[in-house]
Amino acid sequence: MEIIQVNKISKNYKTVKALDEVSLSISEGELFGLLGVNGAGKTTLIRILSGLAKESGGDAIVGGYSLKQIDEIKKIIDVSPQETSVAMNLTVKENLEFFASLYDIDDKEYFDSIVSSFSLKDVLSKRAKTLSGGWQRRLSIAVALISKPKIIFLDEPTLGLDVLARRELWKIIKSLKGKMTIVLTSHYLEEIEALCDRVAIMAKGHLLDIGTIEEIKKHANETSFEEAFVKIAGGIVE
Amino acid sequence: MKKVLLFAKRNLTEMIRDPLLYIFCLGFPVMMVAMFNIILHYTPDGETPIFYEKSLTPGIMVFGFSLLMLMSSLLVSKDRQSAFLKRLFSSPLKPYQFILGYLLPFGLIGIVQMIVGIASGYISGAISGRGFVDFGSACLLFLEMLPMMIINCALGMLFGTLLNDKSSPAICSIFVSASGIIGGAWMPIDKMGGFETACGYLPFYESIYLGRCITGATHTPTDLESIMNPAVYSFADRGVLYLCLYLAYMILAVSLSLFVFTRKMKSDIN
Ligand SMILES: Nc1ncnc2c1ncn2[C@@H]1O[C@H](COP(=O)(O)OP(=O)(O)OP(=O)(O)O)[C@@H](O)[C@H]1O
Ligand SMILES: [Mg+2]
Repeated sequence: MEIIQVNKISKNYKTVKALDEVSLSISEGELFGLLGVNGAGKTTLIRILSGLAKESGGDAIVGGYSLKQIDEIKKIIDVSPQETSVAMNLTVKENLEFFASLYDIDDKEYFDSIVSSFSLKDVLSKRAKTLSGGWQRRLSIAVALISKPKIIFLDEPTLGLDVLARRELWKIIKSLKGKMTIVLTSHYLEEIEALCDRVAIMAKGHLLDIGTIEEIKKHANETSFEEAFVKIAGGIVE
Repeated sequence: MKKVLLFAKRNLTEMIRDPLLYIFCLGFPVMMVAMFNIILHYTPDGETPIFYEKSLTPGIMVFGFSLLMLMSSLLVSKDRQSAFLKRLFSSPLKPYQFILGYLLPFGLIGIVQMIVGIASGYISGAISGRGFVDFGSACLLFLEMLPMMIINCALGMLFGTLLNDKSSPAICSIFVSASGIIGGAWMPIDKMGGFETACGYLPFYESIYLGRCITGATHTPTDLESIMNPAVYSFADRGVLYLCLYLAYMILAVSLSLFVFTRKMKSDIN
């Protein structure tokens, strides 16, 4: 079943077309990757689908609701924005509790499972501002999951994480596979390759290709995903 | 309402964890009363009744509110600057829930501030004999100062919405000095003729004037005769006009900040 259906969404800012009639669909439970270089429009697409930006044209159906019914959509999604966004003077625990209650979630077991999978137990009583950037990032993502969303948008989740923390986060994301629909953006090819079921390659507001890693390699007639990406995205970026 | 309280609790927690809040909003009125008592100790009797507790208390309160405004605007502008508020925009919180969630804790801190301000003026005044010794006036003063407190909370939200966390303290500091100078908190503008008339069109002096009517404060003396027989601030004088203007300012400040916040929220989603 398709849980997200994007139909010719465009977004024009004063000087740039951030999205140009992008269409794609994502199935329920899928781990979907948006891959593209800086300025491709990945964040813009996520912001539109989560009600943080208004589309200039087109529409999308998210969880059965059109973007016109954004209030309904907001109840079933959550976002981990590209920038870390937690309440700095609250403790880790308070942050998690705040966001859980915001979505009317009261599930102790789930709460504990998030705490343990993000290894937050030891820092629960620390204020967010005293954590290192990488740990704030972790918390920012944990906070997005705590609301038990049906769909979660992770905008560059591993930004600013060291190699080990990145691997650990990959593990967490993989463990979520099938439990919810995950849309993540990245410009790290190996991240997309390691995690995603299907990928959309974007550049300059256009959707260039979409499919599994294997399919994309085949389309580009390349054996490595990196070569395929360069072939597909390279032409338009230069 | 549950969501409002949830967001309000977060905002209150965020504010009371800032030590500046205690220095600015609570320690400050106590310090002021103490300081003016020291000044009085070294000045000849009767010459500076503006420093008596009954004159001073309304002024200190209004001055304190402008510090509350500063703290409030800082919270809002910081939330806007970090991605925190944006993230909340993608949550099921509605605009009115944001607004109440901010204004409630501001008001709560304001009320504590009012109690501390009135209590320190009352107690110190009872000891020195220069205060308002009756409990009824203390309660009435509380009521009279409520609109000024609300004005400051609303403006705090307004400036926090419009400005970043660098420029909002700057704008708020204009209000901090305004309450001291054109509010006549510790400047004897009641003897400044045209200047007083002009200040009377602004809520700072209006609220302080009305407060002084309640506490039975006396006007600044100009000669020996007025030292012997000081004239009290009287409601009959300008009370009705000031009260109307004062309440109108409250309505204006609140509507303006509600309007601007909802507008800005919509335009942030663009
Ligand atoms: N609020 C805005 N006003 C004007 N232009 C914007 C705005 N937001 C994004 N853009 C432009 O839209 C284009 C797409 O930006 P977007 O942030 O979606 O890219 P991205 O793929 O997320 O890039 P990155 O990998 O750097 O995060 C860029 O050219 C950007 O400059
Ligand atoms: Mg981005």
